Amino acid sequence: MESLFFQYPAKNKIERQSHVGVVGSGDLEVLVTPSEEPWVKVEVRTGMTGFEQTWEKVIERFCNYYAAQATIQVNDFGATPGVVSLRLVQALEVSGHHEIS
Amino acid sequence: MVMNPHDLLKIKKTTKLSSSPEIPEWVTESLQDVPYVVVRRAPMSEGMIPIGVRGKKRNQRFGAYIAEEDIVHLISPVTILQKYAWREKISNSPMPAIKALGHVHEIFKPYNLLWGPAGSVGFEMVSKCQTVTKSSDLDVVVYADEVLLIEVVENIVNKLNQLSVMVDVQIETPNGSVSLREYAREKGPILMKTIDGAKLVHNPWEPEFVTAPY
Repeated sequence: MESLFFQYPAKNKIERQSHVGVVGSGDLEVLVTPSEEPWVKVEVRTGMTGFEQTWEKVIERFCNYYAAQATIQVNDFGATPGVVSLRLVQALEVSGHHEIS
Repeated sequence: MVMNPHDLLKIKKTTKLSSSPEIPEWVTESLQDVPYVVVRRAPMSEGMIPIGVRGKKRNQRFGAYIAEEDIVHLISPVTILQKYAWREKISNSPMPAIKALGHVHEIFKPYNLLWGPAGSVGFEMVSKCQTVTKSSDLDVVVYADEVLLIEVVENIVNKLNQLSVMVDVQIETPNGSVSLREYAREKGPILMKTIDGAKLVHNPWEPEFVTAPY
C-alpha cells in the first residue's frame, strides 16, 4: 500500500461531506470533507505502485478545475484514470460544489 | 464469436500479443505457464480483441490485443457455473472467496439471475492456477438485460453484507456495467463502465450520460 499526497490552492466552498464509490477491484472510494482553508488536500492510498505521475495528472486537473476547499481521501483498488476522474466529479456533485467562479 | 468483458479466453501458446508499450517479461512467462486471458472492456482495435493478462502478483496486470484465430476457446462467467465442478471446488478449497460462491448461489436463487464468478475466483476455476488468496474478494457478474428492481437489489445487498467475505457484484447491462452496491445505495448518478470509458448515469438501462466537465 502506497500513500500519495497532493495539495493545490482552492477558493470555492462546498456544502457537505460526501462518500462515493465502491470497495472493489477496478474501482475506488472517494471521501470529501469541506475545509475552511484555501487549499484542496488529497491523499491517495493505492495498492498499485509506480503510477505516481498518472495520479498527479488526474488529481491536478480535477483540483485546478474545481478549486474546491476540501480534504479528499481516495482509496484506490486499481481503477483506471477515467474512473478516478469521474468518481471525483461525482463526489463533488454530492458535496454540493458551487458554480465555478 | 461474441465476446463480453469478464469472459476468459484460452489462447494458443504461439499467440503474439499486440501492444504498443513493451511487453514485460512476466507477461510472456505467465502466458507460457497459464495460457488464459480475460476480455477487457475496450473497443476492438483493427479487428484485434482487447485482453488483459494476469500475473502472479496482485499488481501485475497487462492490457494488450490478440487476434481471434489465437483463441482456443471462450469461457464466460455463466459457463463456469454450468460446466466447471464448482460445488466440488468449494468443498475442497480453504479460500473464503471460493467458499462464498455457495452462499451467493443461495442468495441469488430466488431471483433467477444469470450470473457467474469473475476476477481471481473465476480465473482459478478455469485455469486451475492458484490465484485466489485468503484476502481475495469474490467478484461476481450479474447479466441483466432488463431493469433490476431496486427492492430486489437492496435485498441482495443486505444478504451479501452478512457474509464474511467481500462480494463485489457488477451488473452487466446492454449499455455497460454498474456496481450492484452503488445502484442499490445512490440516489444521484452512478458510475457506469462502458466500452468507451467510464460515464455517470441516472438509469443504467436508459443511460443519458453525464460527462466530466473538464
